Amino acid sequence: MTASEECHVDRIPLSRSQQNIYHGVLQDNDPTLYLIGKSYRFHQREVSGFLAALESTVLKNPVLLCVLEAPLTGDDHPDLVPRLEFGDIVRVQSDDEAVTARSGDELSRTWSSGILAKPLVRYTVRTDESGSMSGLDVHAHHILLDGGGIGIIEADLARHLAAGGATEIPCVSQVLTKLTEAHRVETTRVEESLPRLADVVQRELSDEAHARGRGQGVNDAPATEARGILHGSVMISGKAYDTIVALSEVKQVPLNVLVAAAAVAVHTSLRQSTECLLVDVVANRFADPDLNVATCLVNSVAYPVRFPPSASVQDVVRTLDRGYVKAARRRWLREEEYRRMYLAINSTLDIEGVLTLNFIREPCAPGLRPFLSEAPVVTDIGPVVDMTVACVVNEHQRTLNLNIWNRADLPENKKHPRVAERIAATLELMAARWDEPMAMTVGE
Amino acid sequence: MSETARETETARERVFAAVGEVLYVAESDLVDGDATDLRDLGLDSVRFVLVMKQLGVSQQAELISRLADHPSIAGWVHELEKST
Repeated sequence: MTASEECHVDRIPLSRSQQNIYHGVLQDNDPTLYLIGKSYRFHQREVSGFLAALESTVLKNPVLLCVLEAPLTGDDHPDLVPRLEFGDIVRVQSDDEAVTARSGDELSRTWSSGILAKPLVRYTVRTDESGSMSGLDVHAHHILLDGGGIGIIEADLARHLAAGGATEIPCVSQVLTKLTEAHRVETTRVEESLPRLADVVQRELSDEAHARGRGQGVNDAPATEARGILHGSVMISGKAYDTIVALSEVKQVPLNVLVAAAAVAVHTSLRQSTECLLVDVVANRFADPDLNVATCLVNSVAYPVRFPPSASVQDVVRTLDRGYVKAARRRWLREEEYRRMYLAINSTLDIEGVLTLNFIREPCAPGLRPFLSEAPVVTDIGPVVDMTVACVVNEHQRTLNLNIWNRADLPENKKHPRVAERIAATLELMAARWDEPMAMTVGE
Repeated sequence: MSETARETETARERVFAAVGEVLYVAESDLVDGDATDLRDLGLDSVRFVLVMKQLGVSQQAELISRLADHPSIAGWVHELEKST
């Protein structure tokens, strides 16, 4: 059965998030820019059983079977249209060290002449010497899926694996209708947010520009994006993890804000500037069943951070906490609208002053955990503007994984060693030095 | 004031105190009164966990699920009253 055979909804308009990525694709010639990927190690399983579970999962999430097609009307954006079959997006390959990277490269190469009418996702099922299934790689164009979407698919895969093939074949038409509705809801929320928030944001940006000198920018380079590559990782565990979680609870500060504060402190030390634009990836599906669909709805919120060099750890954390809450109130205002308003007032965006945070509350859907032999690894994150700190919390194993991503085209003299280790060390010191200057925690 | 009204006020005060602490909310921020969607005031999944701890319900999975479905002060007061 293919998605198209039983489907009544045959064209799905893009979400606003997807439209924004499509504009990015048109502006850039790098087909690898929007490649996202994740790699999983499984306990050994029979390939046939796994493929059956994966096929049910794909049918439950038929966006995976969609390609982009030019619109029938004069719209500027293509539609998602279900044209593919399961076999078009799944490969079975024997395992070797290079298979993950090769699989991602192969998929992204197919986008070099454009992304219309091309598969936008590939699942590579990896087999070991005995022929058993031992791993799975997923690579996708970011226009198809965001992190939340991947999590929804993981949860479905876990359900189908647990059921051992005894699950109903999902009604593709119903799911595509839900997908269309999710995009409609997202579009409505985005449209409602602009008149509600535009004045407030413009006022905030003007006040901020006034406070630090209008149009001031260290670097006049445009805020272009580049492919993100991993520059370093560190795992926080054991007593260090417990100390950080305890600080979060005692001070009533969310863990993501503590990580942001440590990252800002190190970023400040590297740049010798206590000003930056912090960008947080927002999860807009929270408590919204209409949006609980595998697709791409990603948005981010930016907020300027500025503090005196002598500010204490507590001062920096509280400043960031308030700033984060204020920024999160405009979660539906598209980040491209915010950037437009920012540039209208500031004239330049100092890209070296942009620090992006992606806080992920769990390494994968909890239901999938029993089937995995180790925590999954994010292999590709799509485009970045500058330094990006991805933090994955694993409450089950009591670990916090910090990954530092940066531009693939970053010049050698801008590469800083041991950034992840420095952020981890700062996080560990924050409880003991709560009332001392933040600068001291990073050795300034 | 009736007993029910007093309990309602207590639950409302408790919820508002927790929300105010975690979301830096003042009464003037509640543009739709107690029906204001707390997500529009900065509530996300991470901060939701903190508010649940503030409310002392972090071990009650079913109640947490209902509170997540109704992210407003009015919704939480209603759910907390139902649970007592």
